[in-house]
Amino acid sequence: MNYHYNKLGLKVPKDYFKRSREEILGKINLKEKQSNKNHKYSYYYLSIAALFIGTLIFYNFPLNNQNLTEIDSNSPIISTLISGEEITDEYIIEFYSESIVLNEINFGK
Amino acid sequence: MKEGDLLQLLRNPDLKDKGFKLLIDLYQEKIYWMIRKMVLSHDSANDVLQETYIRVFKGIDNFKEKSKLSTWIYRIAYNESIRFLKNESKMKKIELDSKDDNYSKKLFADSFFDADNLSLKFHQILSELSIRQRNIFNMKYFDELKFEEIAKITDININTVKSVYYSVEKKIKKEINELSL
Repeated sequence: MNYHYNKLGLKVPKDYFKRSREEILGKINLKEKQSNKNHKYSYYYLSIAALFIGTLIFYNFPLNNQNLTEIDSNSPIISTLISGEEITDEYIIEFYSESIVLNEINFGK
Repeated sequence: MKEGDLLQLLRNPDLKDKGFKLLIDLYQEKIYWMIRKMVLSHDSANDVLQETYIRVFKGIDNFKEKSKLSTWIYRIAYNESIRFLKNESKMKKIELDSKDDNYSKKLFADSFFDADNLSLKFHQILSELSIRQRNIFNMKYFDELKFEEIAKITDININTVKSVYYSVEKKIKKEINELSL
C-alpha cells in the first residue's frame, strides 16, 4: 500500500529529475561565479578604503603634532618637565595667580 | 557511498562539484517528494527543491555533523517549504496547528495532479489535518523516515511526533476501511 500510494496522484513532467539536476548544478555554478566576483569587488573596495584611511592618517599626523606643540610651555609643570628644574609650591601659586589675572590659564581642551 | 566519504568529497574544494552531483543523485527525489507533499504544486516544489540545494551547497562547510547529512538536508528542505508556505499565504507566521484551507484548491489547480478514487479519499483526509499533523504523517508513512529523524527535522519532541502519527494513522485506517465496506 505504501509504495502504490506513495505519490498520491502527484505527477512530475517527463525527465523532470534529470533536468532538475542540471538546473540545480547550473544555478550553483552561477552563484559560485557571482560569489567569486563579489569577493573581487570586496577586495577592490577594501583597498580603496585602506588607501583613504591611510591618506587621512598621513595628513592628520602633522596637525596632531602641531597640537602637541601648542601646549603651554610656559606652564610651570611643563617647563620643569622639559628643563628638569625643581618646582616649588610658591612658584605654582605665583604662576596661576598671574595667569588668572591675565586670563591666560590653559586648562587643556 | 557512506555519508562520511561523501562529506569528505564535499569538503574538498577540488572534489566539491563531484560530491555535490552525488548528493543530488542520492537525495533529489526523496527531498522533492517530501517538499511536494508539503507545498502540493509541482512548480512550487521545483522552486523549493532548487532553493534547498543552493542552501545546502552554501552551508555544507558549516555542517557540524550533529545529525546525519540526510537529516540535515531534510531539515533545510522542511524549513524552506515552511518559508514558502508563509510567503504564499502572505502571513508573517504560519499556523502549523491549523489546517491549510487552500489544500484542495492548490491540488486541483496543479496540472501535474491526477489521482484515483483512493488517492482522492486520502487527500480528503489529509486536507482535514493540521499542517503539522499532515507533515508528520507524510514523513513517516510515505517518506519512511524514522521518528527520531522527523523529530529533528521538524524540531518537535519525539514523543509528540509518535503520538501525532499514531492518532492520524488510526483515523486514516478507520476512514479508509469505512470507504471499502
